[in-house]
Amino acid sequence: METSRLRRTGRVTASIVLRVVVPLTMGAGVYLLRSQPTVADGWANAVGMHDAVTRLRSLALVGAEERAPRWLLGTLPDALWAFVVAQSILLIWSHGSRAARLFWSSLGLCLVLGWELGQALHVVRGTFDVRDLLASAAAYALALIATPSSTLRIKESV
Amino acid sequence: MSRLQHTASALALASCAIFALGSSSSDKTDKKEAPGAAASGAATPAAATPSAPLKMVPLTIKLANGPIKELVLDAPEGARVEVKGGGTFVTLGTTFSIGIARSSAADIKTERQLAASGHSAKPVVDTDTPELLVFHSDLLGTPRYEFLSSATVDKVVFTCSSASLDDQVYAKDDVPAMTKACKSLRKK
Repeated sequence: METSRLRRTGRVTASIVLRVVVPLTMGAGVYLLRSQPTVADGWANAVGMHDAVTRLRSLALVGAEERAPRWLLGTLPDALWAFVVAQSILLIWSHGSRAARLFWSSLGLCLVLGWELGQALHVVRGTFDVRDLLASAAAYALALIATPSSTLRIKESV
Repeated sequence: MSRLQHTASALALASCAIFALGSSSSDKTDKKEAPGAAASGAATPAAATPSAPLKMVPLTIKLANGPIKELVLDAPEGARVEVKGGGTFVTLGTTFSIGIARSSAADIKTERQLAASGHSAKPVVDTDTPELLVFHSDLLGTPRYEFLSSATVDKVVFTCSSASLDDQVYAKDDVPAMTKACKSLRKK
């Protein structure tokens, strides 16, 4: 019983790492290639992580920003973030009401699309780009489609 | 369980929103704050370094009158287009602001003469080419940099200059990004 609980905990952890932490880290990593400051830089400074951020940025290849394609620097982080939003909801609702999962998935989609459209309306910081909007929507849809509910369930027994 | 899941979902979406906010570009690249940026937490290593390159992305400008309805230029990511007082301005924070207007060769010549003569004291000319005039003057001990450039797009002449809506003072390091943006003016 204890072993099965441990294995279940391990599977949950692995799912969170693979579906949420890894894509989120990849997206955040892209920002280290960009020279333009982000709001998070200010947060890092506020908590005394200025030097750590500087060191991380210095690890990025010199001129990488110039060489990197536009989609990598601008669109990929948005798509990864949208993917994470969808996966977070799916993970939380791997068990439970289908209606609730649908509701929160819809809310997540509103957040993803609203964030991009908010840039067009200048209510959210950033530059609106229709490619970012399409990539985010596609990533969100991919996360939902490629993760059928049957595979979401983390079995109680092994 | 369900209540816990609802709470977790709300927290997840809120966390994602905070993450998205954190990854959005900061407008607080105020050159006046740069020296104390680390202490204030308002700017970053990139912002504190005057020569740090800005990420330039294509930006479309809609024109109300004239044969060209839309122009494109490479502006720093996050820059905004504002149309005020008959002028079109592209701005980002306090270090980037350019004004674009339809002009003529004669108008540009006059503007260059006026700029070079200065408002009160004669400015020092840094660059003087047919397409670009960069000059600076002394403002209470602080050098105030300005420029005036011209671009011809599809046989239509435009002036592109350092011009802000709030009479911003630019440092020498602010000028290259703005002149680069002006130079990239093209038809959509």
